[in-house]
Amino acid sequence: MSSELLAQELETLAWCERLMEEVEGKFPRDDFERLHKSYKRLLKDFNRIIRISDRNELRLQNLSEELTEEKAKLEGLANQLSSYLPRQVFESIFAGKQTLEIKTKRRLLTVFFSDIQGFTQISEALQPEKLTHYLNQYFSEMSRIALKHGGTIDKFIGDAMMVFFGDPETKGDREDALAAVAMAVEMQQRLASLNLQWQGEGLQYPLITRMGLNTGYCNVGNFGSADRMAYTIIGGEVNLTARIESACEAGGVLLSYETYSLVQDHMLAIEREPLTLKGIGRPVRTFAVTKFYGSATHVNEELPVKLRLPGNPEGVEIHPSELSMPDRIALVANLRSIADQLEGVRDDKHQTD
Amino acid sequence: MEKISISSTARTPAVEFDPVARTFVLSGESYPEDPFKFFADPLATVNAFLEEKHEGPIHFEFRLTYFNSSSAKVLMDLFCSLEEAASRGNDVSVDWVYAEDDDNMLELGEEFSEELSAAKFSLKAIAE
Repeated sequence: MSSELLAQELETLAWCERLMEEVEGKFPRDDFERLHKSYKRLLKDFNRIIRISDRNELRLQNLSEELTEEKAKLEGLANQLSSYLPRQVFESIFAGKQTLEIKTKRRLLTVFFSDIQGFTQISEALQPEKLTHYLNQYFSEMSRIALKHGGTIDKFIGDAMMVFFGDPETKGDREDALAAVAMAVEMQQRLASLNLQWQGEGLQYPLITRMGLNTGYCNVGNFGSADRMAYTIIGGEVNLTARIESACEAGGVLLSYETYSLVQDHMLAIEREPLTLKGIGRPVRTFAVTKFYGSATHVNEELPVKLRLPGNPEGVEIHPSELSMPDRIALVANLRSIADQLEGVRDDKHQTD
Repeated sequence: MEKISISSTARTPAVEFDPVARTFVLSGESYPEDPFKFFADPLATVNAFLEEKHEGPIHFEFRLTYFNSSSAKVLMDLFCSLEEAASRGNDVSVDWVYAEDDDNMLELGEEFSEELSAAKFSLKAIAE
């Protein structure tokens, strides 16, 4: 504590001492001494309090810096851990909306399943490093699309992927189902262009996926034990979705009637043969998506389109209404790739968020 | 004169005062919401005790890990009373106990010791 800071007080003290000498006998010295002593003590206490206060502030400042460092460290760790949890669930836990209890609730969800057709054969034909490379790229791209549409990525099971819509965030039953179908269609579109890219890199067999969607009430929440739990969904509707997915044509998107009824105004679909499933009394109606419009304007599919090539003025006639979704997506990806090659555009131009 | 025994809380220290054994211990953290209210009754008793002349030794021990500025003012007043009691002929000893790696509490102890000359003062570092 510098004496400069208390210069005025010290001067007053000195003045008091001088005055005591000057007024000797004229003013009771005892009173003066008492006043002087009190002021001296007050000054000492004040001086000490300031020192203590400064020291505490410094200590708090140091603690605050340590806490900031710790916080940054924890945030870094949390970010790394977040990859092991569905992003929405992670955010929900961090926002304090979710408790880590073994607890479930019933929710109307749209559930999505996909897997790669003939994955066993593909994995046998590829070196493990190559397989890991393609599979990681595949899952990265599919996850990016799932998150873009607001899906909760439940898990990856080998080559299969499970996503659901409607928890922990929901935009409403219809919107959730719509987002799920939009995601599935975009996944197939992206995979078609990835396959062209991979073909160029030497991948012999394209990765063709089947996708199934179903809407129904599921139990959602933390399952497992207090030591190890997973935020997931269970229920008959989840199993049904897996069965619908396995019945889907390669490269297609197959919906249960419950999902179809929520999104039918935004797409064209063909009803497939009903599925007879063990444990379910009546046949399950399914619908294969042929064209998804989303919020775009409906285009008349009845009119044929012509692809005119140099040296072939007649062109090739294409009837959109006769195309299955896998064929349509493959054709679009091919035409886009050709157009890009002609224009000299790189493939990653289409990887938009 | 009554014994005092107050348990510590997250914000207030433990107070143990035994007028027969002539011992006083203040330990823990001290940043009460209203420090003067918290200390008023125990200090009134302790000050009354210090006003008297005692035959045996009087021992005060401070084992604080953190205290705020208001508590520091209370401590300074208490140290002043201890010094005055010692000046009146009482055998007063004060131990300032701090964790050996707590430089802050060591410096604060040194700071408070300046108040004492008639009373005996010791700084005691302890391993955590």
